[in-house]
Amino acid sequence: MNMRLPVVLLALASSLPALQAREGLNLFAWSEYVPQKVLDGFTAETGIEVNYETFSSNEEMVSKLVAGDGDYDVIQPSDYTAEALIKQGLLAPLDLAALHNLGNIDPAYRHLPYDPEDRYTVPYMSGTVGIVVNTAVVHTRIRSFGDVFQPRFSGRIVVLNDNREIVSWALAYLGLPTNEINAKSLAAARPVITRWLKYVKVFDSDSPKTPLLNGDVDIGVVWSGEAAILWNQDHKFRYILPSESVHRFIDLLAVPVGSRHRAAAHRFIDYVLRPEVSKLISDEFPYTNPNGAARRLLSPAQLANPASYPKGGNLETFRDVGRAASDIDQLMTDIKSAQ
Amino acid sequence: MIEAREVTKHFGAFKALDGVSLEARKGEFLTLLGPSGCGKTTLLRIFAGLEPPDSGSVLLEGADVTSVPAYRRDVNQVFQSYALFPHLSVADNIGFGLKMRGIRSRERQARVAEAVAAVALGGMEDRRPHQLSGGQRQRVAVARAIVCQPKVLLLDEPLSALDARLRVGMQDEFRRLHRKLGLTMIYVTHDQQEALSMSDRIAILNAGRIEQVGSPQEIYNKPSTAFAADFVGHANLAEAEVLSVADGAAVLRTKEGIRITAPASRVPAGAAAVIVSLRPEDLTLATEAQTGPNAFAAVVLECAFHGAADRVIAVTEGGTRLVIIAAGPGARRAVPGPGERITCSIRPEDVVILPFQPAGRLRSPLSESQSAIL
Amino acid sequence: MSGRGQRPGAGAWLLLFPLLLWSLAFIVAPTAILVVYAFCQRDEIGRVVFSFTLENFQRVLDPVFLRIFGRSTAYAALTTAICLLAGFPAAWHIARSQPRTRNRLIMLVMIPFWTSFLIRTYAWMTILKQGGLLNGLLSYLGVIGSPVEFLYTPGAVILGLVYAYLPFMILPIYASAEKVDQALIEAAHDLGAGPLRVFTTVIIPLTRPGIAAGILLVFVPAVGMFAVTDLMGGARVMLIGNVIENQFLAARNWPFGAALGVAFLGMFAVVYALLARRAKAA
Repeated sequence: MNMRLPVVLLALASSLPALQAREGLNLFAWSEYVPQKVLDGFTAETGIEVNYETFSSNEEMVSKLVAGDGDYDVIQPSDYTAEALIKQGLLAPLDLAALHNLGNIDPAYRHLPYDPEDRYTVPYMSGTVGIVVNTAVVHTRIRSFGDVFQPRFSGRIVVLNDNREIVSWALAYLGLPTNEINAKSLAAARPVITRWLKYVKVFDSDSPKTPLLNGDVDIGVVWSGEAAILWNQDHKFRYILPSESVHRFIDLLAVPVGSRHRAAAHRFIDYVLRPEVSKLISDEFPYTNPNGAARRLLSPAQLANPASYPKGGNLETFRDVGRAASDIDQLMTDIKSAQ
Repeated sequence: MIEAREVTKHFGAFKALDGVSLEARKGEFLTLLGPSGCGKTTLLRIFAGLEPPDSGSVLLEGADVTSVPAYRRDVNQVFQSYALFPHLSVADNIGFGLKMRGIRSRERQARVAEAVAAVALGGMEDRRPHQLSGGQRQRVAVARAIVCQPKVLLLDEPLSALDARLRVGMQDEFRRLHRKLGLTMIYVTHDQQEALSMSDRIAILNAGRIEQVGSPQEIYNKPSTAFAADFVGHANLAEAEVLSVADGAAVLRTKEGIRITAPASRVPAGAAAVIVSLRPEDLTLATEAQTGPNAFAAVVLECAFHGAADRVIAVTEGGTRLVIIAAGPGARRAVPGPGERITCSIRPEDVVILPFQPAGRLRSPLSESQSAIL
Repeated sequence: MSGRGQRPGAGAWLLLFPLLLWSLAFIVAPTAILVVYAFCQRDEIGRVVFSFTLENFQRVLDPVFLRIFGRSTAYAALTTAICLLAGFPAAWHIARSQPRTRNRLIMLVMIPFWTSFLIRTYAWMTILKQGGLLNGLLSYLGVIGSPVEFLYTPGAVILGLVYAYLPFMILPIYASAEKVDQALIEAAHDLGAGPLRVFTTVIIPLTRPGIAAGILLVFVPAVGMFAVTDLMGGARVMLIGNVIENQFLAARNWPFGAALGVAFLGMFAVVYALLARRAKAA
């Protein structure tokens, strides 16, 4: 998921749309989330060129989507963002008849609350946010957020540089519902976050695995895909689903209402739904694959990666918080700047 | 007063100064004269302390100042480019040295005012250098250097950037300043005319060595080397062998076969070969054939009218080129045309004999000189 | 004085046209949009709603943001000071070298621009990380017993900022220093100014345009920088650049981000105007 930097995007995104040829299919997706092989395979088969523009947060994607009307044919929102976009009428209903491979999707990933009738979205990849521990250094048992944010790990912790995530962990720790963001819940979360952030060494959403690999920190709260890569590098990196509550995210494919190449968009989505294509994505980005047919093609080792396919956990998805996103940011800015 | 002893200086492989010893006496106007690249500016910079010598020493009033940096030497310089501080006014430029010496504002102002008056720059105090003419800048540079009352004032070709008329005026100005302030001044120039007219003494430099030091008259009339003879004024130079020395007269023969008679006393005892120097203005010119000692038949190649004199280039039968300056009241001068046969002659006592040097060290004998006499 | 005060003719306008168009498209227009947004509101999903409000500017005055403004200024000022202290001698030395050496040295200053700034920043991370080159070298030399934390510290942020902006200090000072006539320095020495006095009375005044340009070129972007704080500082230090970035990319609050940007711009305009007035008076 977010492995590259907002800066690159900011610099490139501001210049590229104007310069880029707008023919073919315009894909707007997370950075480092769609393998080049998949794009090349699609172009080879259909002759449709794919322009891959990237973003590194849902908010960034939404800003650009609403600003540049009709520039994108396929977008890749996460669950709660898709919900907001549907509410705002920004997504086009899918032509289900054109999607022959819909049946490959695992039933567990169908008819979910953000799109109950599966009219607008198709799942691409799923994942969780959990705890990674370098067991070569940390020998105590870590089970929860409460275990991570302790004085003894001060200066040894990496967390996602994502304010919504951090607030949701604090709410989960307090036993409050993670999707109810209001003045009261934020006030409750404030002292917890203030205490926690003192222990944090690095905030990084783009590549939180790096400080772990470099040995600059020993423990972290990161995307499961990052944790899966760490596990593949060295089994000393253990992935643990926090006992309080686990954020599960599902990244989707959808077509914005302004799309000018809808037929190509549908062909692309259908292509990605093919088991062998979906497997390519899992090979490169070891998140949880919602494509049941593709999952059957994966190796036992891939399926055994505890970060890609964790067991159990109190899974929860994010819901859109609307204007409260700004309150979250204000709270976190307050806390961070006071440190 | 200020003295260089056995000073040698290299720039990379180039030897700028080769064991130079020279002293400027108290209150004297000493000129360093020589062609570009002779080392005169380098010597000046070594006096100023802007350049350290490779070996040798510099003495100021008897004290060794070789390792004393420029800013602690009681010596000031007028730079060729003037080097006025563009960000400072005329008054601040002139007062700079006083300020560096920690002289209080009150006194400084008074002394600056005095210096401004001395160089006639009244009313210009608040201007910036770029608002001044070339001559005015020159005067600021001089005022800036003299206001500190240095023990020695160094001037590096200060007139080279001025046009001819201003230059003559400034020459007089320098003489006047020198007399008035009684300063010891060392003046660098490549212009022999400037050197002759201004100096108490002249030191001629060539290729990093001193050729001759003496008063302008000595330098001109009794050059001690072929280079000195040719660089100051112009000289028709020729290698000659000594045929005979008898009865107070020496007979010499140049390579091209001209016989020249000179006073025997001038020929170094026992010398078999010498350099003969004939000043253009010592040669006289006649349109009719003449005989006698030191009369050479020649053919005119060129003749140029120079107002107070004519400059004639002629070639003798042996192929020797001679430059002749024919002076005298204009109307009575006979000006020969190219191709005309003439006779030129010189009095034996006007013939200058110089010690022999291998041809390599002669600066193209009997060639046209760059330094026109007029 | 001929030519001064004349109005540009048609030809001059024609030549200026691309520049005017460029500034209009890339400076005037974006700034205008920023100013308009700063007085707007936003909807649920983060779209700008064009209805007038002063709320964004009221929020800018919140002590939290003022503190961040102050910290950003302090970081940028420290960066600028270090760049000046390190850059001036370098620029001066380059300007005073032989032309051949000079061109080579200038080349060395420029070479980093050939690769992406982010790649160079990652290279620094590789050097500073716990198992990195610097720790390896120091422990090999026996200077340190256990690894030192270099990366993800305020010091690393300053290092990254200095590294990023040093060339922008060196180049303008070099351009000024190159024009300083050696004879002026010698004249100052000759008139009794020691090295320090020459520096303060001649070299600094004559290179002032370069110094001023360098300070501007370093300070202004350094205040707004957010990539270095994120990468080298582990995003722990919040600078104004990070706050503005967050408004656009995370908080769905473009109007507030715009207001912060406008406030920032206004602050600089005021400081710049004051400096320019002082320079004119001097």
